[in-house]
Amino acid sequence: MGAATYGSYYNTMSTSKHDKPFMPDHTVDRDRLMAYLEGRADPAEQWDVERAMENDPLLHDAVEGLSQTGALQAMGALDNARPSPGSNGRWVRMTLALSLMIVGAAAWLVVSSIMEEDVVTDLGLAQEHPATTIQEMQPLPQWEELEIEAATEQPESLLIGHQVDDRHAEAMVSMPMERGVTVEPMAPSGVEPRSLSSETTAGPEHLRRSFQQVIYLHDLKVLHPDAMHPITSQIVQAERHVPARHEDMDLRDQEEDPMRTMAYLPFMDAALAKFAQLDHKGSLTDLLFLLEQYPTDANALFYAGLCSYNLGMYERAQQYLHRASLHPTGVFDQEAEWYHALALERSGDREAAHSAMQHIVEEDGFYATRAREHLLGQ
Amino acid sequence: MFLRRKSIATESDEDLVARVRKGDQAGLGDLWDRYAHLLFGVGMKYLKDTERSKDCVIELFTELPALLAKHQVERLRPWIHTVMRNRCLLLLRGAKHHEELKEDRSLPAPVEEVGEAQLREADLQRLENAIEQLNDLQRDCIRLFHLERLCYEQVAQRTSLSVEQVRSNLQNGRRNLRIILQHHVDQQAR
Repeated sequence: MGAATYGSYYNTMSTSKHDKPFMPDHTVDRDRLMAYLEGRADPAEQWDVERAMENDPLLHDAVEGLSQTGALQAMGALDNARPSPGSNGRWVRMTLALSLMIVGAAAWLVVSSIMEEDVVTDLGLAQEHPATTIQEMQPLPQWEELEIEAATEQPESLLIGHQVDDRHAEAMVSMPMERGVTVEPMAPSGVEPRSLSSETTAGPEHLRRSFQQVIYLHDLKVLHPDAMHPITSQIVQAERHVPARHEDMDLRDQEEDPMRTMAYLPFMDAALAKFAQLDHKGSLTDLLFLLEQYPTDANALFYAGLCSYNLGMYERAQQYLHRASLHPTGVFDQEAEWYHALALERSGDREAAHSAMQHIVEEDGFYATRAREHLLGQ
Repeated sequence: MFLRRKSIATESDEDLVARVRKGDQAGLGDLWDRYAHLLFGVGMKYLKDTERSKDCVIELFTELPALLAKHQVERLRPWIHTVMRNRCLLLLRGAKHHEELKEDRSLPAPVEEVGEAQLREADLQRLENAIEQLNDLQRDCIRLFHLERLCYEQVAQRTSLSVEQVRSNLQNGRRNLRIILQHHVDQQAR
């Protein structure tokens, strides 16, 4: 192969910066790298990335690693751990939240399986398995940057979840919370796991507690966290999942940031205060933070669904409300199903909405009358 | 609160490092945008496990402000690559926590390979003379890739080699070019 072969190169490049072909002159940004790894780059773009690889051992190693099966898919979870600008200590909390989310989901799986097993063996009842469980569902799509900020509050006439005669707003006990207040278990309120009959009195202790601990914050129903998260009811509990090397840093952040040790109920109280004051963006932001740590939290799922709906994000609302309706405790089953049907309708899926409404009528529950009227009005 | 912020950083690594040293969390976020995905790839290369790789990246960034405060880092890119790679290797060896920290604290500055500066600064005339001294496969691969600007696949098609063979020849050819050019510099110095 002689020098003449490279005539085109010399002609076009002799006066360019590529007079020094081995001189690194650029880095490859993430978008171009992703295009390369996903096979979307044309030959010129491929060369551009590969030339950078030849000059950059970090990029070379990274491409090698990211070419492995599952690597690109796993990068979404990595993005969740990005340091948050302008908030000292918050990023550390975020990384902990990620760990807690995984542990929380695993713990929930264990608890759920124990609950189901106990019901069948101890009570002799056939557990009613929903067609889909929360655990079987795909992870919720990530929120885009500024998605909440860009959302529009709906007119008050279109808002849901704020009527005094809503099922979740039956103010049996109103208990405004203050930060740091310890919450004692409340008296039984009649909320049952969906698969148990009302006559059932025997059963595992943790299962009985699950339908005894319904409280109301700002006249909004909340299932006590002990009924869902027996391991902890703290928002971000650094001590449990932090490598030993972070201990000093955690203590420092803990002193600087009271959110690190905030108990569940005060946190939920603040979130629902915003909801009650029609600050759905603020409430949703808080609830999403909680869901990072407790992905199957019934309270957060339900009220995040209402907030999403009231911000006009109906597909998001469907996702949260559907999960809330499937929650094993059944604490929001009827209201979540009702609002889910409304969200289906608002997002234009009239057929699915009609079917969901019919189901509510057939179940003859709390929202049967509203659903019937709604169907007649269509 | 947890939303991903698109990377808009246009500052140099050195500027971002200076910001992080001053406690600027936004600077740390910009470094994350620039390096986290690459370091995750490095983790995958060595650990071959998404969770461990992810944890390793998060841990590194958690400690990055403290590490930057302790080390005089002139060029972040090779330095952070070395830190990540060392951590992966230590994990693979089952190194204990304190040993890992010790390794980080005593981490030497990355040393550029001998002749790399000559290779980067070499103009076409000097390169042509050096390239002629390579073996046939290395010479063809170096020319097609670096001078004709063909991607790996195109070079593989032209040479009837596999992509891996092309990359191997490029790597070996590059190393030999460095040696040749460094040898030339040494001779001139005498």
